[in-house]
Amino acid sequence: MEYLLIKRQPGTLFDATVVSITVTEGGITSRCNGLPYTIIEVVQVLAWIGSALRESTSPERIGYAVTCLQIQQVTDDEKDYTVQVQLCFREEDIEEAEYQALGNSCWQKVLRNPVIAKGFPIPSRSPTLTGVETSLKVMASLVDASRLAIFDRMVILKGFNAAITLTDHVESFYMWHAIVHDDGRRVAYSDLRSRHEGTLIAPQELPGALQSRNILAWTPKVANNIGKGFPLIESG
Amino acid sequence: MREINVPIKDELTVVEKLCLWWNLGRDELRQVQDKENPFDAKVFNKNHPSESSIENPEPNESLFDHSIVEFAVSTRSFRWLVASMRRELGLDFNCATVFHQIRDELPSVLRFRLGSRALLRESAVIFLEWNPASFVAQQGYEGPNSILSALTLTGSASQAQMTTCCEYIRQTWPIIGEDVLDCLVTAVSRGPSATIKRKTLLTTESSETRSNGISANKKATRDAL
Repeated sequence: MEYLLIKRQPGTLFDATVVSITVTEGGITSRCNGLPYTIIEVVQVLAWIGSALRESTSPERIGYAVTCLQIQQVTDDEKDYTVQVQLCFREEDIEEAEYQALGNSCWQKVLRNPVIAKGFPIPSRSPTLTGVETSLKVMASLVDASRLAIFDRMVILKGFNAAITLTDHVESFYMWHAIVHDDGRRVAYSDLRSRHEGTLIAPQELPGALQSRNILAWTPKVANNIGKGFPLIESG
Repeated sequence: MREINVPIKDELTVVEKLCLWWNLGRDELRQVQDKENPFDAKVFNKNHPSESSIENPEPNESLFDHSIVEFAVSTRSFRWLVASMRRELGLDFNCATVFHQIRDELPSVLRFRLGSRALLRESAVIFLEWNPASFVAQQGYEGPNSILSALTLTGSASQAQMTTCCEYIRQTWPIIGEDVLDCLVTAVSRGPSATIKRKTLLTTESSETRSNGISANKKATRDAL
């Protein structure tokens, strides 16, 4: 119905495919006229946007957003032939086994109730490297850290009640661990419980590390230290 | 078919790769011509270099016209090819079920008709059950442009990628993704003025989304970014 139309913004893609997007009360309607391969990519982009940009209905749990695809032909006339694609989304809980495997995952604490867009590609990595791959910039923003600090041989991104520390270097990845005080208490440098023995990274190696891929992941080595009083500080 | 020694090294330049591709392809073409029309084959051989130069895929003026290379490299099709290959090599598609479903199911209804020179254009209407105004309000974003820097999670609980919306789209659909996103953001950002002008039902929708409240944590994240 015309009165629902807000605005149509046409865009022409590299191969002269024309995409127009209309925002309606019920969602988004996009009309696409162009090469079939490009139309397929436009549908993929919109499906990902619809599943990634949403908030979980569960307040404290990770959920998946799964795309449901319905395709139909509107007319079967040779001259007037249009394909209709309906993209709906449903929220799925992660499987219990997967949830148990995650344990008390650190990145879940940082993000609380994120929705993961399921069914789309991510950069390749070894199956053993679990966790969330992200950039240093995003990690800094998550804990509201303005600078990368080196404290007592640890590399730290520290905000007020949250911090992320470098814990390991596996293959070409740098592994990080997040510490969050749920009650809002300040995280002190002395309370960074995820440190390893020995030097993790020499300061001169830091510029190279900043260019590498980073994974925010739970590290099993910190489990034994949780709940113990004053941790891990050596003099000197 | 005759074998050609192909240098296996990663550091081949684009020009070298094209020369190699050109040589391999022309060799096959010449074999076909030899069989089908011996006269044409003789003419072809006159105008083209000897066997020894074909085996050496180094760029060379007589072998390969650089204007052809420059033309090929500068085309959008070539950029599309390179971007697609880079994407296929860098990304893990094992769990990309939705991505594959769209790629596999749409061709069954989209016609791939070949015109005189290229594929013919087709039409599709896509309905997306996603309310951008509601999302922007829920996240406490100042405006639709914040969608570009919104943090997203993709993958699975055990292996995920967290990146901004714009970065993920650039990585996964390097040729068309950003154009589609720009189009979407512009459409969303022009929404409110049109709503006022037409006094549509969306005025009600806007007031509903405002009442959903703002997530302070996510607002802080956005501000930091």
